[in-house]
Amino acid sequence: MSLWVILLALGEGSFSCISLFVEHLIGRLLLLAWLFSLYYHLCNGIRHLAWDLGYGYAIGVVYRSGFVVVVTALGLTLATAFWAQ
Amino acid sequence: MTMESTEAKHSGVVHWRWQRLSGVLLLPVALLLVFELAGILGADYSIASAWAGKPLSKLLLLAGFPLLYLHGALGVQVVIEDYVGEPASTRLIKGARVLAATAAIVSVLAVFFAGG
Repeated sequence: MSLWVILLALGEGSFSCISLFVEHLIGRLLLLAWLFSLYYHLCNGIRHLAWDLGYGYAIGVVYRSGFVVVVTALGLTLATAFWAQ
Repeated sequence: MTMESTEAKHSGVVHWRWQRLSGVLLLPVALLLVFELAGILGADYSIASAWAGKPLSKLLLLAGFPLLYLHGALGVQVVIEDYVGEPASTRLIKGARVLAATAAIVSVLAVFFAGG
C-alpha cells in the first residue's frame, strides 16, 4: 500500500507498473492471500480484545470463537473479492 | 534493582497500551481503506489520483500509515523478543523501529504529493 501511494506520487510512468502486478494472476492471488491474512488478523484481534476485557475464557467458547474467526475471515475475503470484481 | 529492569517493566505496560490503542483505531481505518481500495481495484493513474485527492482518502491514509507502522513495529518487537536471544534482540528491535518509522514518514509524504 505504501508502494502504491509512493508510485502514485511519483507520477503516471511509475504508477503504470502497478497494473502489471494487479492484472497478473499471481498478483491477484497474492492480493487475495494478503486480504485473508488481514481479515484473519483483524478478527483474531477482536477476539483478543474480548479476552482483554475478561470475556470468552470458557474452554468451549475459546474453541468456538477460534472457528468463528476463521469462517468470518474467509467470508469477508470472498465478499470483498466478489465486490471488487 | 537496576535502572534497566525498571525501564523494562514500565515499557511492557507502554507496549501493551499502544498495541491495543493502535489496534482498535486500525479496526475502522483498515476496513474502510480495504473497501475503498477494493472499489478501485486495477484503477489507472487518473482514477487512482482522483481517489487519492478525496478528503476521506487523505484522512484514511494519513491516519492509517502511522498507525499501521506503529502496530507493525510493536508486533515485530514481540516476535523478536519471543524468538531471538537477549543481546541481538535489542539491536534488531531498534532496527525494526527505524525501518517502520522511515516507511511511515515516506508514505505520509507521498500522500501529500499523490492526487494533488
